[in-house]
Amino acid sequence: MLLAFRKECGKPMLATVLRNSSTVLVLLSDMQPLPTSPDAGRDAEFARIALPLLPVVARLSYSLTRVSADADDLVQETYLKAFRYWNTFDQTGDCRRWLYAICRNTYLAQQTRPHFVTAVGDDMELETFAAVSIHKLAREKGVEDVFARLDLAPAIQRAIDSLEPVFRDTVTLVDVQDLKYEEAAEVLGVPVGTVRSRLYRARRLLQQALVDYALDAGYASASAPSPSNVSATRGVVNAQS
Amino acid sequence: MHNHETCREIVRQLWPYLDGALPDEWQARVTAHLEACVNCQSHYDFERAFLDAVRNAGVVDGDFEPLRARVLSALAAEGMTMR
Repeated sequence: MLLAFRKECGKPMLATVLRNSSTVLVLLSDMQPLPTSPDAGRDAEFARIALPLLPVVARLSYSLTRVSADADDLVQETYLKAFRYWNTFDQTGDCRRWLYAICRNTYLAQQTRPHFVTAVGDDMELETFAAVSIHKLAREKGVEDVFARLDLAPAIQRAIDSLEPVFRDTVTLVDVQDLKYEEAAEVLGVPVGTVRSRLYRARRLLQQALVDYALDAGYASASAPSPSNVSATRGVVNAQS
Repeated sequence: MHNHETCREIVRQLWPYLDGALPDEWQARVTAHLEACVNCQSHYDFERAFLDAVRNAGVVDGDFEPLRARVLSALAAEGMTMR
């Protein structure tokens, strides 16, 4: 397929870099898709390889847009682009990653608001120990088991929404979509170390937000050492009452 | 009984450990420590519960057939032949 593409576009160098799927989307805007004339073999191949991945692309799309209608539009646009540029897909590669890259880059291209990017240091150790500090705080405040005990889904969604895009995208890919560090790095077009830095920072920010939420909402464990909790027998008690 | 430095070393590896991103030797080392150290096990449980909650909160399930039909319709308009 790569050789075919090389012949079509007459740019051997492009064909080489196209092996890296995260690079593809940078190049797509400068290239013309091959004509979509009827090609039963190609269409059957696309239907067999790309279409079954629609649910995972839809999940990523929803994670990025957070709005169902927008997510559906993004999935459709992703598949249309994938179909148009199917000739550039290296079939020894991972189609899911390729579709993820198209989906995310299409999403980013649609954004008109500026993306504020907080500088992220590479002190992952600091972030790890900060997370442990949050655990200690949660234990002291009687909300240590809040993640296991409560349905925090709406609060988690809001907390993820409030993250800066670079952190939100990273935590979504790794913690929601279950991508490995290397896979997320490829989709995002950043080094693996950057994925780790952003991920650990995102997790710490989410934990802080959720513990704050639990405390603000008055949740506390019945096992907390606070005297106000001694009489509680089970379930959620209001530690601030 | 574990000394403070050993626990720091283990805690430093908790995220990659939970993500299955450590080399096998380190993965086994952290597992062995967690089995023997109540304090580090407590940190692990907290982080594990957090990751489970995030994963469960983000999972979008449902019927993708309407979306699939819509995408197929758009692809057909683009020239894709269906068999």
